[in-house]
Amino acid sequence: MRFRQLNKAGLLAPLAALTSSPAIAQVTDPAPSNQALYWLGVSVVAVCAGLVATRLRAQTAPREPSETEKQLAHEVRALNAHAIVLVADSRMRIVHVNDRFVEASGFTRSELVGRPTSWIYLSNDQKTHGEICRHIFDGKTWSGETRLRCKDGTYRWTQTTIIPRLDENGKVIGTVGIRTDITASKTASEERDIVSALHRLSDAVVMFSADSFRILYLNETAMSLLDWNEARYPTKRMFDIDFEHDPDEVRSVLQKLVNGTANSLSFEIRLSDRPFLANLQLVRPAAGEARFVAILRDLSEREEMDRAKNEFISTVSHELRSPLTSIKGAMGLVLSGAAGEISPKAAELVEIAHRNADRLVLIVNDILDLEKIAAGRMEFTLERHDLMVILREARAANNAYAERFQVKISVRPPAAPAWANVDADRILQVLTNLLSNAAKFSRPGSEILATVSTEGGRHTVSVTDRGVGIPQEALATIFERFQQVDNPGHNAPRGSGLGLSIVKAIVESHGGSVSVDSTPGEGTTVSFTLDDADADAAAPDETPPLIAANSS
Amino acid sequence: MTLRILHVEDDEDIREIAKLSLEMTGEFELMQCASGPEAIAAAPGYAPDLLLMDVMMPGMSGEQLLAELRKLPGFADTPAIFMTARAQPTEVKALRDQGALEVIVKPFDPLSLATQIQDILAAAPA
Repeated sequence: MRFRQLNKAGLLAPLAALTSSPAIAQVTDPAPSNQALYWLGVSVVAVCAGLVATRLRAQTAPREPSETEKQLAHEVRALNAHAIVLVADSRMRIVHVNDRFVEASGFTRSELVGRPTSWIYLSNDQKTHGEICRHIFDGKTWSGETRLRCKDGTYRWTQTTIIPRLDENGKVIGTVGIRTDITASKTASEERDIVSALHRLSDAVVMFSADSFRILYLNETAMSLLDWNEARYPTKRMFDIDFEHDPDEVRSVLQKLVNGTANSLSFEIRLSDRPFLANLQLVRPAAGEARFVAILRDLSEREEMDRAKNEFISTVSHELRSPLTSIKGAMGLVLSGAAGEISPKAAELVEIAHRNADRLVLIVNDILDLEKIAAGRMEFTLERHDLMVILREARAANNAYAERFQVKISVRPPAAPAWANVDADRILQVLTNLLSNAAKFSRPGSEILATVSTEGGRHTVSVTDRGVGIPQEALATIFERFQQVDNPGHNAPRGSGLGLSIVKAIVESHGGSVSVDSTPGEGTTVSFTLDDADADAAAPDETPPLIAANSS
Repeated sequence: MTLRILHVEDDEDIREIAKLSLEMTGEFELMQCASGPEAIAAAPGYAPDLLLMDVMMPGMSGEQLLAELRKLPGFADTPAIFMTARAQPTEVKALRDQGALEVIVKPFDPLSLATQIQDILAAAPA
């Protein structure tokens, strides 16, 4: 068999005999330099040549190998133990692989021999293979890093040297490729790159123990932000970070990650008087202690942009008010007859313009309100009020509007006065929004029911209409800006589309929440909650210690 | 007897609307100025019963103007009303603290402006 190969492949069979010997040791040393590989490669060819001659001689006149031959044989064994070797013919078909090749690639020898050499390259690396072939056919040696395709779908990084085998006329009759597995060092290098990138990330990265809260890692941004260097931070704990926080609240947040009720949490914090978005995750590495990883993104720039945007909106809205004052005023005077009689048709047109000027004023006012709330500039004068008194006032203010739609507003009082610390004007604004909305969407002749109820230290104010209802798909976005539900059955004037956003913002500014429940064709209930001013002070948060045994 | 109003407003159209709204009732007579300095120059010769002023005006704000007018002889107690698009509670309070009787929010309703002013004056302490 080997002789047939000899006949067919010339010098290759003896090499096959040598390279198929088992690896004698696992070599873990780093890859030799390209130059060293080159000379090793040359040695392989030289050794092959020497051994062929030796074998041929041995067939005719057996004799003991010389010392040089023994030395060369040792070198080839060492090479086989270390390197992944492939021999190809002039058509770049694999004619031989050594045991290391089989071991590294996971392919059997029979799966490899006879295949084109391109077969051991990944599809993305075929260009590299083409480049190597061009080098070889120019009679040049190629060196570089390549990926060896493995049977299991993975690959090994190899330091590769491919040498052309030339005949006496300098014609390429095949190649010898020698590879050293550098996957481990390559992976380590990639990991170093990742760590290095993490270290230089513009976001601050803080890792702290889930058990002791001891700081385990800070990247450069975090070190600079906290003014703790590499020597100092390992002596610190997460609670030493001076962000405006309530330790109990922080523990309760962390507990959610520990319990698995959340995979990651995002919240805003302030640090060094700057706003940050903190993203927190619990990582349980295979080795080492469980840790929280916090990535802090500086929001100063975003906050500044928001401020500029809000200021712009505010300025534009105010600037709009002057011309609106003139437009509305002029049309109001024309309609009043202050400028003389006008034809009914003209009056109708001016009425349309006047109505839309009113709507524009409403939009501008609502935008200004939302902007004020967003910028924290809306003033809330909190005083103790009976919500029923405000509700009755809202009904009185909206009765005329409801009558336009032939709708009656009824109120149902709670068993006892519902005292709450609120800004009465703002709650009146909320109720006016809800009642006017309910009136617009009610069926003529129906009733709007407004109720106040108290339970568990909270009051709930609800406004229910018997109207067209809100489609299920619209419910999720009903409190978002500029969301309007069409009401084809009514000729109600369109609002600003901001009313419910304002309701939500005002209620939330009071520490309450809003909700909506609707059945299309039957009606809608919008409710909001407010704390009972007479409820006992809330019991202290009884969040259990995060990890009790290690919280010291 | 008509009430003499010194109206200071930088927006010409709003001046026109206010003039029409108030004068059509027959109960008001207006002298209008487009800026603070113009009002300071005109005020002594007019002797108004009421100062009606915009707040946000270029050069001299309504608040600065009122402070200057108060220094003029005979203007220490002249009732003053501001008209403004900004009407947050603290802003209204600041204007009242300055000596204004009330603040009318823009856009105002031209048909009820006269009534609004009369109501404010009626509610003012004598």
